[in-house]
Amino acid sequence: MTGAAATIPTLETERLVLRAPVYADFEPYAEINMSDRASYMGGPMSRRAAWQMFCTETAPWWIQGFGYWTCALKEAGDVVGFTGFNRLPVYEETEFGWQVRAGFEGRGLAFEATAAALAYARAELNFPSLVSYIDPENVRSQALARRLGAVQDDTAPVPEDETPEECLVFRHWPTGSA
Amino acid sequence: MAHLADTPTLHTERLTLRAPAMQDWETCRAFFSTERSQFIGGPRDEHEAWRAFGHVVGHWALRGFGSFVFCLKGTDAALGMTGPWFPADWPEREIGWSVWHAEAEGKGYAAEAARAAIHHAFHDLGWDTAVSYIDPENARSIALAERLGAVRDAEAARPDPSDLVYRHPRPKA
Repeated sequence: MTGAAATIPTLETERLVLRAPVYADFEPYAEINMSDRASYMGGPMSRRAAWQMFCTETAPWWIQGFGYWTCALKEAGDVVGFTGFNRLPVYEETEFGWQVRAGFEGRGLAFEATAAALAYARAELNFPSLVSYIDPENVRSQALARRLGAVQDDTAPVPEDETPEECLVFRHWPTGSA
Repeated sequence: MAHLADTPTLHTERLTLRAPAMQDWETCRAFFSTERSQFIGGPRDEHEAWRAFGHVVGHWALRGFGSFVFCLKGTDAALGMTGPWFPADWPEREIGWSVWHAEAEGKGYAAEAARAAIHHAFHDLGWDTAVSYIDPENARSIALAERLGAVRDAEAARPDPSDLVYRHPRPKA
């Protein structure tokens, strides 16, 4: 037995564990992305499209050294959402993204998970820059980005398949660069 | 720390089959940019090709098995891909294949690689049956399925109503 072997770090916060995605996590992932909760990122999508996206968010761990984590409640084990890093060919920079499952909002869990992911990236991943692409109508996600310390950057390029009217760029770092 | 399981490498007379890696991306992207990919959802732009490549790699990570790239022995350049394939929305387990380079066709490489993949699925992964879903217009792929001994299964469920389903016989140990 030889070949690819990736290590996915496990991160712990007060209430959550951020761990490697496993097959069973596809059900909560599909629940989010087949619902209106995915309307700011091209959804609701088919089960097939959701599976392909789930694979595509997991794959970078194997080939690029980063990717998405599954965020679960420490004690109960419930999956509360997903967060991590992505570098698609249509992106000019690495993107930091997140999704929260219905029923787990308003408790600071998304902030707790994303703050841990961000701290990991700062310490362990050598991203020269990091941004979040957010729909102008997705005020909840914008508020989270600001709470994480990101600043809206209207000079940054948006993904090739989007326009500045469809996509805001929030910059995590380098901050103040123009 | 979670560790993804090591992936197997398969050997045939002329080929090596291994899990896809980052160095295969450019070859995969190039394949999806051509009409050669027309029966598996192509041609696709770079963004869509990345999703297709990520699908293959992520399938390995999430399922623990997946599609191998095959290379000539002693080389590392992928000629195509074949292997066990079971996306979350598939009716049952599949053996898939695609030949990425026109120059790699007509030499029996795809059949040689697919035989190794089928053997792996039945004997290493413990599958008790396997199908291949094929576009009815994909004559080359149909010929390959028949060459491998697979037979049409008109009753079987399929991901796309227009797909043909070929069921593979269990290979001898």
